[in-house]
Amino acid sequence: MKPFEGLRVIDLSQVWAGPVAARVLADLGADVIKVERPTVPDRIRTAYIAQNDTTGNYWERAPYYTVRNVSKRGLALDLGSDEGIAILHGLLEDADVLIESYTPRVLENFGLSWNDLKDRYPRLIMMSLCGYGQTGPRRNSPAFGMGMEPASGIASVSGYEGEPPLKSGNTWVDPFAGIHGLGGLLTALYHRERSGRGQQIDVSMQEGLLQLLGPHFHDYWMNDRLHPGSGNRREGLVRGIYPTAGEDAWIAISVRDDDEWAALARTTGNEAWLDDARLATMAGRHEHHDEIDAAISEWTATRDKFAAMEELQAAGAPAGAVLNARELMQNEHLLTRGLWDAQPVRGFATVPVQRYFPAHVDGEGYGARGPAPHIGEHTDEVLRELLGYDDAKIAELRDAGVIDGEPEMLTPPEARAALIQPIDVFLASGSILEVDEQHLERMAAVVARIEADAG
Amino acid sequence: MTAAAPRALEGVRIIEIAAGLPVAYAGKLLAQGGAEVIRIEPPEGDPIRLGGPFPGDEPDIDGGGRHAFFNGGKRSVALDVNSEGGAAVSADLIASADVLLTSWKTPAQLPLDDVDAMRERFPDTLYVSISPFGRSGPYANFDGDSHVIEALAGFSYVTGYPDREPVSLGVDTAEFLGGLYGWVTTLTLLNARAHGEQHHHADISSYETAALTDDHNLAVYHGMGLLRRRFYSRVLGAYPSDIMRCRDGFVSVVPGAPDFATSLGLLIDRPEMIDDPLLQLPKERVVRWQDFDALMEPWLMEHDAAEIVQKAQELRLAFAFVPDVADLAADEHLAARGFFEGPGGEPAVGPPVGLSETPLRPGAPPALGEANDELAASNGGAA
Repeated sequence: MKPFEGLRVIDLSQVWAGPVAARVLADLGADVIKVERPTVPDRIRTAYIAQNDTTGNYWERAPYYTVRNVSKRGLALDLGSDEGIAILHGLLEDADVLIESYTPRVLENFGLSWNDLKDRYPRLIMMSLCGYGQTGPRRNSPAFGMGMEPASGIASVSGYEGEPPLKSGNTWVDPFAGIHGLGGLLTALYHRERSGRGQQIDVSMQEGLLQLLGPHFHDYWMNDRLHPGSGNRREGLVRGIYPTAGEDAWIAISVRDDDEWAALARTTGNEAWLDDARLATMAGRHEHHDEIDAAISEWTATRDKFAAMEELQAAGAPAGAVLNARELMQNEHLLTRGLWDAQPVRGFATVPVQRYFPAHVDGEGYGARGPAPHIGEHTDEVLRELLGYDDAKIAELRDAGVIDGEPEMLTPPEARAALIQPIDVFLASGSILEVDEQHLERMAAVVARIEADAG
Repeated sequence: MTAAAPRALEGVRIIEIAAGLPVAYAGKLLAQGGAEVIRIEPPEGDPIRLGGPFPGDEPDIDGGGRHAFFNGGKRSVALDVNSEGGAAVSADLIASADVLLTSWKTPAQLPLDDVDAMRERFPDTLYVSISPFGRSGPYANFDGDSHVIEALAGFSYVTGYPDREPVSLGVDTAEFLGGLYGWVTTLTLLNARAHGEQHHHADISSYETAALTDDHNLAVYHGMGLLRRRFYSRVLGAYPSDIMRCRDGFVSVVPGAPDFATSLGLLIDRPEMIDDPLLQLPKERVVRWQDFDALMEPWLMEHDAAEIVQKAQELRLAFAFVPDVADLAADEHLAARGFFEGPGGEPAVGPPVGLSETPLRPGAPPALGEANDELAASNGGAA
């Protein structure tokens, strides 16, 4: 039995942070119903369409959408109509969890705020996620993950020495916030087991991210000290990213104590460091970091990054090859550990979809249970099964546009054209290394491996 | 949010054997939920205590900032888990607990690397292990901190400037993610137990918790074969998405808005540009980003971050400040939410998520071994 079998979740959230929390519950057995307005579906459906092909129902072919919404059922519902709101209330009667990711004013306008719902559904746990939380002067400020990394101070401590603040090229902040929200939700669920009462989970993306700066805040309060970006270097460590053989190929090394330092020195042919009084302490090594880096680079430059990593790790010096997306997909450790499940981006191909609950529990994992739903794919099924509607009632709602409709903003030729990515521009600017013409074959090989391992 | 508010995890006992940041972060969040978290650490203190920062840079085993942040709300038992006596005391504590939280690689006179033996010895305790690479697979014996893990997880390759080496962020993202998943996994399995399903062991790899956050680069590879590289503070197919200079510092500029063209034209006092393809068409901005910068930069350099962000947000543009820690510590919004209110009135970093009925609460950090007499003395093995 999966941990959350029997739990029903209504997922009104969009894009990433909210949907990922809902997906974990779905993978763990919950019945998660993803609600989308048929005319204005989840906006992530328009991001980076497979094969850059925006013809037909392209909004069903976004790998981004797939990865965040597998294992869920899809319900199309116009929350701008009274009937749509009534259906949502019908679903909330038997729901355990409601997840949403609007700024607070939106659901207040729909009469669906926590204050509107809490007395009517006393067992409901409502997770509301937005940039800055449900209270405070900035509560209604719009926010996306990509902006929250700088807005939360992470950029201010990141970047090359002497250069402007830097944001990462990965939108990890969305799952970071969404999974923190999930932890709050699971804490509330445990409480409900004993108290019988639900509660509101207020997820401020910013406050989740501020955890990462915990020690920085204490240094500021204690010593009035800030830590602007210092590249790969960190006080108390010998750390860098060094070039290896091959195009744009690198290895990361981070040494934390004397044993690891000795392993690094011996492996890279720098035994002399161990007798060098200047380098006897971490402080001394930090002072002479340029000299150390030059010697390490000399050793790494002629080596394959994977071979160098294996050699350093075997000796006891922590090192990791810097992987691009292709290498990440093909990584043997992650494949062996079963991080990916094979799921279709329907109308395109079967892709490796990562687990968002990666723990191995008593030797078992919890992965994707089925494809990401088309807009409203399970509308009839949900209305029949959960609300007891008959065919006539469903037909009536369909005719009235409550549960059906065209995503009109997505269909005009200019909307389709705008979503075609200018790949030649990416290539010319250097924001991509290459377009891998064999990516479908490589992906199919990985998918075959995943399916074989899954038996 | 009074002190009398109920604690969701009241009555849950967690034994944490110190094993780096991820384990400490998971334990901290469980303590904030009201669990009794007993941290077993070496008699001389563990690296989190010794890692500072310290007031005036004077080392203080109980007064470090890292210790305050990661160990707030826990109890401390100081003993040597590598000694027979220390292991015996630890075993009694583990047997009394709902959850054991540590890494399978922690050196101890306990079979932490043998799941079956642990299950046999502690049948009623859930054993949650968080390690850099997990218990199985070709990297199981690798070691590494966030810098190493993030390189392997696809973060570093896409972070930095295209003509320079990849760069790590200035925070320990991968290790926090490992701890975050330690928290979520423990809660999942405590909930399952409440329904009669007792689980025995969970194996969490910080590497996987970091790798799974990357759908941005994987999705464009899966769908189109694009291999993204590092490219300043930008995302691939949307512009503006960057940290841009303004008169008194920096602002974070992102493209999402109900009507970006109108909002941006009004923001930069160029209403005649609203119908221009450069503002109207998202792709046009990606292709002609230099033209967009040329339009935007003069206006930004004539305004301060505060006025830029205020006006932008009034126009529903998700522009934001690029605050540093000092700015955030003085931030009115965070103050209004009581985010920095510590357990004894001193400042502390608040909980990561709000709960209306059973709020998570930061607690004070324990002195080294403060619970030895109460919890460990009967076995005689404590330091």
